[in-house]
Amino acid sequence: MDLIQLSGNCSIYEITQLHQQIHDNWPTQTDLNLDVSNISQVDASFIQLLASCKKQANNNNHLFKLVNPSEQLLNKIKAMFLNDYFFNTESPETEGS
Amino acid sequence: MEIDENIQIFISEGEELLQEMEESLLELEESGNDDEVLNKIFRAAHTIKGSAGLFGFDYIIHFTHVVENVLDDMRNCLIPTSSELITVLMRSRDYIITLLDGIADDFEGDKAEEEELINLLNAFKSSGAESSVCETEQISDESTSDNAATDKSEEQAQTNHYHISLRLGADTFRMGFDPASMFRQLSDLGEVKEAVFIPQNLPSLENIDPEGCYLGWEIALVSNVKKEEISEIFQFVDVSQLTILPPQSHFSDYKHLIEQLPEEEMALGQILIETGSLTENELQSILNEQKEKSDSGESPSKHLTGDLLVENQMVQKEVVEEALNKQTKVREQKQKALTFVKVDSSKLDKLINLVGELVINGAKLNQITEDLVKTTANEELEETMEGLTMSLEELREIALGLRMVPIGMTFNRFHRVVRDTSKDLDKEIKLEIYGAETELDKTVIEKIGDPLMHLIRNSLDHGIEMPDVRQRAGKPSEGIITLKAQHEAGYITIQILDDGKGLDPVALRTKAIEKGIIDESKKLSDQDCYNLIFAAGFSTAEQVSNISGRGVGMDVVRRNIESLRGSVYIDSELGIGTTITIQLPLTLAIIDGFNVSIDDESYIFPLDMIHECLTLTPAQIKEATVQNYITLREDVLPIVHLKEYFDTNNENNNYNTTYMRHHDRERHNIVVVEFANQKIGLIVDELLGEVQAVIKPLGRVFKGLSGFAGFTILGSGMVALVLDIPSLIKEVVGNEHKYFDSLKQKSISSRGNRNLH
Amino acid sequence: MSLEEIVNELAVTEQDQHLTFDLSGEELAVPVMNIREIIRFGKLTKMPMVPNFIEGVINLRGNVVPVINLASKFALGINNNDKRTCIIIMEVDIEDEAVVMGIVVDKVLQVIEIPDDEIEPTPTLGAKIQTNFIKGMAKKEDGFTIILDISQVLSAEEVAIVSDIHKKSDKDDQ
Repeated sequence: MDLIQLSGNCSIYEITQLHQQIHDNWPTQTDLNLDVSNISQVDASFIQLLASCKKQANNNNHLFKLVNPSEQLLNKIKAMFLNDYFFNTESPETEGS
Repeated sequence: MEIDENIQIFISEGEELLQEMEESLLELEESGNDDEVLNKIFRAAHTIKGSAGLFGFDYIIHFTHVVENVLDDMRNCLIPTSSELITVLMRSRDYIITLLDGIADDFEGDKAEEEELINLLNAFKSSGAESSVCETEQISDESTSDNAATDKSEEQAQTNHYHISLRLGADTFRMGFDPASMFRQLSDLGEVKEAVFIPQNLPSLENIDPEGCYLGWEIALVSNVKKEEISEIFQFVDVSQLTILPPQSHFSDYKHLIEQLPEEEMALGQILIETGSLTENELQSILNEQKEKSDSGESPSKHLTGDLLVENQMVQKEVVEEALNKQTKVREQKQKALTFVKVDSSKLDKLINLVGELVINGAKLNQITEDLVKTTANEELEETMEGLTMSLEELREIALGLRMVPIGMTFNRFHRVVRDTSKDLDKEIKLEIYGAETELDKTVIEKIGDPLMHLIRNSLDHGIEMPDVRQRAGKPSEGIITLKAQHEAGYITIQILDDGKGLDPVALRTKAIEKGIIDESKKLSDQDCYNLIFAAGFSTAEQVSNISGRGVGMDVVRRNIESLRGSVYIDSELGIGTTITIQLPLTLAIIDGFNVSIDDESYIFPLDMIHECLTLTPAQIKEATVQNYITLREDVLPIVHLKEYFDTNNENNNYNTTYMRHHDRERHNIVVVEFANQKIGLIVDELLGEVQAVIKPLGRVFKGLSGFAGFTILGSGMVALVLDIPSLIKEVVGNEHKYFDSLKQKSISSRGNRNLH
Repeated sequence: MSLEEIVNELAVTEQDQHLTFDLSGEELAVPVMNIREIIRFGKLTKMPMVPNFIEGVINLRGNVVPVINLASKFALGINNNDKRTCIIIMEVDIEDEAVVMGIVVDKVLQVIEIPDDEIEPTPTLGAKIQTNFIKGMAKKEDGFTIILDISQVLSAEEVAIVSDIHKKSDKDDQ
């Protein structure tokens, strides 16, 4: 299983690097698994980046999965009202046809 | 009072807001109670009141507060919009301007006028009935649609929550703002019942700028607070779009929301559900129906969705159209999202002057480099110079572009003039504007306002007839004045058209003879007669009313326009209307020029006026020696020997032109220029090539010298004159000039001859 | 006196200081107060369609400055351009507007002090120059120095007749 490991602070200061890291390691054939167990600080830009990953995975008809998300990360997602977007299997998007 | 920078900003921003307010008031008068427009007006007054508070201008707060109250009642549908009310609001707005203007002189306004206005405003306030004036509108609105719409209106009544439509701006994260904290603040005000994330704007990983923000939500907030309290949360947030709809919002509010939503290619049904125009069930049944139809062979499309919705009358047609429009418009608007920076205009002028100097020195340096490279062949130097020249060129373009502003602001001011004046005159007049986006040098814009105002007042006063007169003449009782702007090569054309009574050339001529402006024996074309209006001493006190009057004649208008290197002329048709055309150069500062020499002096032609440069054939040279035209590609081209033209106009020279042409050096270079469909060939000594010319004004001593736009300084450091082609053509081809008379006769007779063959 | 010395003396600007110069054999003076600088006569750009007394224009550090030929304006004959020919750059207020113009002179002579009370009125007869251009005369050892009324000489009316030439020639033509 392809697994991209993210670690350390994940905020606007690191976001460009993180974007590059995910982009460079993007799995060609399989689903996207992001190991987020070792991350510390997160902010909204990181959540957005994750959402963007999910969008890309959806476009490729692959699954997007967060591995071992921390409580803090999940709370952040909830606080931004992105729960439905990330965790409802049915994508709320109606476009893409 | 000492005006510090902050107060200056307050004044200039206040003036801007009041300008918008004026436009919005006119719009409101046109469209009736439009919430969006009303909100804009209210915000303007509210902001001025708030800012005035910061500086302790209590008298401004005092007055603005009364205005604001009336506007608030209008927003809340307690006072109906009426023409009288708008007139009072207009006057109030003018009064606030005088308050702002008076700050510098410690003038706190004319208390008598203030009291009168406050009384008028309050009269409207108390006359407002308790019942909502908009509600009746709403009912009549919806009584036109049938069952499904009635269902919908019931559903609307049930929504007891605020609907907040939010799209964050790209800089949200960079500014350190966290959307989660915004939701926390919203929760402090009430319950966030639902927040639907709008992912349509979010790029996929490949395309995302990870630091940019693309987030947006449609939020339902159950709360009892005032709308202002909600909007305060977003005060310091970079928001690209924000709409807050209070509970039980009117149908049209949702329509506006659709209009504003930035989403691209968002499914129509989705938009309607998200804004509460349609329920899931309704959408579902439509989608089913659409599917059936597509199964039976019809192609499914978004438009079909729209049509079906209307067919089933589940939504009003206009809402659907709005949503469909939205889908096509979104793409264009997305690219137009701009941010602006305010800059002190004197800084800008300094910058542009500096760029001018840079361009001059760059040209000089280029000259030196070219000379140097000829002898030493230094490739690196040559390349560096080329690069520098290109950057300078770009810099010049950008610097000049900074000063270009759309003429729309100037045009829009005339709405008010037309409205007020036509009321005063008991005329019905509408102003139509085209080409408001046309850009023009700021300095030109600033100076063209007054002449335009005068011309428009003239059309209002003398052009458009009284409604009954118009009707008798078989015209609609409402007259139309049209303001039009458009670009032509290097020039901008502004036209003022009216469909009024037009000008009578015979009457104008008679009057000009009476005034001693022209001689009785003088023959004039109709065109010439119209332009007599611009002659000095033509418009006099007796015919000047209080509208177009103010003691300024049309000759001043002409002079003002000419001082901008522009020209103005009139065309008219009796009973049909009058057209005034103003032509202005796009910029006063720097032009692309073409350098020629005459008698070893350089002259610069504006490049965009040049049609072509030619070397004459021996036959043409022979022609040019004996007559004032040549045959060019079987056409007759009037020509001017510039050297001869300059000399014959010299005070103390009295050359025999034919003698001169035979004995002077032989010239065979000709520059063909074109302006206003008039082509003319100018004979010069040498063609020296393109240059960039920073135009310097002729200055006090030479300001009367027509035919020249100004000076420029060449790379060599020498001064050269820049030709003003329109005025030169006018000068040479102008009716008054002897050069022209012979020229015209010859070209006419030669044209006649050609026709005989 | 060398040009440099004169320029140095110009630096001490006083009300009574005057610069004298030679123009077709006449000794004339202008107040130092109105003088911006003195430059050597060089190549200038001729202007078309202007009165003959306008010699042309020069580029003075990016500003275009008109140059007046006083000899021609005063009808004193043609000046002989040589190494000593100079342009005195003057600044005068014309209708509250500072106008910079140059005048061509054959040779600058010296800076002298002429107190107001030593300026004698213009004689009505005998002066080669139109009296309205003369502010007064100052005695010197071998005759008189004519002090020019420079704002009159360069006044708008006198110089800006440029603008009327066309109208005049138009009328002549008809």
